[in-house]
Amino acid sequence: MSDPPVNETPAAPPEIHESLPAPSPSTKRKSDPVSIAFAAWLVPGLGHFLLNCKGRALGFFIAAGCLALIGFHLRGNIFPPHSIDPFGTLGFLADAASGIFYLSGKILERAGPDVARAAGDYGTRFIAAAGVVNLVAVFDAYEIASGRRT
Amino acid sequence: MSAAVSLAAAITIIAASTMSHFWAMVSFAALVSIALTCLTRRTAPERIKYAVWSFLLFILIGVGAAWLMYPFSR
Repeated sequence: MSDPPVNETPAAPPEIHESLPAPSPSTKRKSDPVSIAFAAWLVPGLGHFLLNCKGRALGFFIAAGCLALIGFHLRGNIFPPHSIDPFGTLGFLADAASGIFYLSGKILERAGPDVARAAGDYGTRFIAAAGVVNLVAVFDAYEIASGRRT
Repeated sequence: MSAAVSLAAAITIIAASTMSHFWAMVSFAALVSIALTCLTRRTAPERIKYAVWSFLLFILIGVGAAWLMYPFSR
């Protein structure tokens, strides 16, 4: 068994710099994902806005904001932080995910909740949906800031 | 995107002014469809198609579920 001849001259490295795509804006970002996630939670769409995804930022802000405002208008229930009911805790988590809309909920909904009517019950769902939509936006912004998504 | 925002704003105003259950359902479908569309990574025409499909499916399933429950309402 003889060894194969060794090539003394190493092969030239392939010129990959020409085949690589131009760096996209997402690869240039050096944002802290946690800070972006916090901003996205506080104001719906702010995380995407800071990541220069302005269309998505506007979409998330309109979606979460309008859901919350309609919910307040329908006099939905805003769950308090301390609840002995597990469903109340889940409701609080869903509501609190809407960020500034939850924090200003007591100001925007001066008349208080009225869940005796069907409209008030719908309002409760709208407010929770606003939080869930914003939660999805927070995760999306975090993923983009981490570089896992574009 | 601006057309979608205008549509959402118009539906929101109608829903808030009338407080009708139907318009509440329509506004919910429109707003959640916009949010879901923002998550997709597609081209603009595909996004519009996705949003319209999502919106129509929300409405169709909502109305269909309402009719299915109608015999048990009384």
